[in-house]
Amino acid sequence: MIRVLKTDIFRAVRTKMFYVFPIFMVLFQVAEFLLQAVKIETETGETRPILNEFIFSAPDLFSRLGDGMIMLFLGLFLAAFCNDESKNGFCKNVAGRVADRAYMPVSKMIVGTLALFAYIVEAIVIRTGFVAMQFAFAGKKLVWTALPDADKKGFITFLVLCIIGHIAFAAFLVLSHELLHSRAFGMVFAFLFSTAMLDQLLFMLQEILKSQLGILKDVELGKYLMVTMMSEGWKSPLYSSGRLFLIAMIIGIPSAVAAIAVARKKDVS
Amino acid sequence: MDNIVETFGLTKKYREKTALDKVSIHVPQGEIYGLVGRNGAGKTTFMKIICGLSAQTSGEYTMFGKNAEELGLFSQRRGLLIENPGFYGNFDAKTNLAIMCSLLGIRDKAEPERLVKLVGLEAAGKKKIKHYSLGMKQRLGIALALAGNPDVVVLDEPINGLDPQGIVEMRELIRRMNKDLGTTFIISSHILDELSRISTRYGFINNGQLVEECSASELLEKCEEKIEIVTDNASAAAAILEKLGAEKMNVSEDGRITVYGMAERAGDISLALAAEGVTLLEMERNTGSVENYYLNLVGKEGK
Repeated sequence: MIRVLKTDIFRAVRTKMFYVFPIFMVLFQVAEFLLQAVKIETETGETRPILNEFIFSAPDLFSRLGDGMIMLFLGLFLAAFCNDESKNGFCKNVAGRVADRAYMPVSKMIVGTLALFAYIVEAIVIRTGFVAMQFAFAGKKLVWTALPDADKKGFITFLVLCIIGHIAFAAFLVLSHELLHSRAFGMVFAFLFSTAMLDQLLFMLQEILKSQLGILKDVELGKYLMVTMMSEGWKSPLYSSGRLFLIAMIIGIPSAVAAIAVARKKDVS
Repeated sequence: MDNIVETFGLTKKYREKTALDKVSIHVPQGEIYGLVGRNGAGKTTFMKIICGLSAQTSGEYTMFGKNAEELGLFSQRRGLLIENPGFYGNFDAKTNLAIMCSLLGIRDKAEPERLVKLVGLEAAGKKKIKHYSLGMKQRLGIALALAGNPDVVVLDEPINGLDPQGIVEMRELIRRMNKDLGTTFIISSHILDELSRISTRYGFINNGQLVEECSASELLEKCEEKIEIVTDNASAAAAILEKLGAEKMNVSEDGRITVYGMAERAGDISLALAAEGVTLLEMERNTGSVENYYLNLVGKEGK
């Protein structure tokens, strides 16, 4: 298992898609930096930057985890990474010489988890770097807003659940790869899921069911959708730690088990 | 000699189509086993199953005396090249081989270099595989299969795309590994002439069924140029054949005479027998190549 994982990590760091997220993050921060540097003319005729002070906090540093950006790039990376091996036929070399073919999807889920942590760290480092730049070069006043003690536990729980949710999402993507071997499906699904477009489709479906059949009228669907809950944040009335954990488990565990079963049973071509 | 690979009624069905039908093959350790069959005969399906890439519908196989469920880490002792070689096109040969070595737990950093030299790819240097010719890719596929000096190497059409020099080099490499390391090879090909140069044992497969299994010496004997004759007087016929110059001849208990080295003189034989009043009841002429033997075995249409 360790050897399969080492091989996959070796490959992962050589996959171009792995580096798209940090590049995008840098561009995103540059855009934000430029936007905030814009000066406006006041009523008295003097010019000043839109914002003179930069307020940031722990939730701000981890914001990419909740807003789906990390999930999107994690999904794109996994879709490319998993399917490379099938597309070029190297999976035959692996499948023919491993003790158990279950190691292959498990290793990919672990690589997905490691990539997730790498992305979180990159997001924090890049964010902090640009905040520091705004302080150093744009002369902004930095205001660090510490979380009240009463909120700390809730926020950390939310962070942990977001990470679990992302791992469940990675497990589902690995399952989709085992079943379909389709890079396109993986990428499209990652996009629709992480940007909450799938959630929007479900909201539309609910509206149709409400109007046509008169059912699901009292159900607040957002309370049961992982991405909606994560993007709404830990103080939203839609969020519940127990529900988010349960939904992540419902997605993740069957996906992981099914991916292992499919990898063991399905012919490698 | 122990069988390093053995199958017991191996069957593979794809919906209505039966790709393999109760195939029982025996591959003794240290042999170069040639799997002969035309396209679509079931060779690749068979190889995929014994390499753990495909699950059989029924039957089972053993490798190193262990069945598929018990194989576990022993899987590392089998090398494979099935259908097209699999590799990362954006990496060079050494990187691809380093990935394979990492998978097999080979810590020797010189192993990728050794494998590159073994298959004659050292001149390619850092060239990415996607820029390789078909033959070079095939050589890399063989190098990947040979990584870690496996005890059993399964090669599906290994000479596809190789130039004549490459074919000779691969043949020598297989012979050398077989002789020096005792590596068992299972090689499929539809180029019978090539297989007949290296194989020590054969399995003929047709329409998913194993038609025959024999050693190279048995096949040689079967393929030897010969005429089989059945007459109403075997002893008189044998005397006539001696007069005609037959040097090697067998007369079986049922009176069937096998004459070697006279296949071109079938006409003379029938005339001589008739002239001496011996009635020719049956005559079968075998012109001698493995190809002819195979065609006779499976029928010209492969039915």
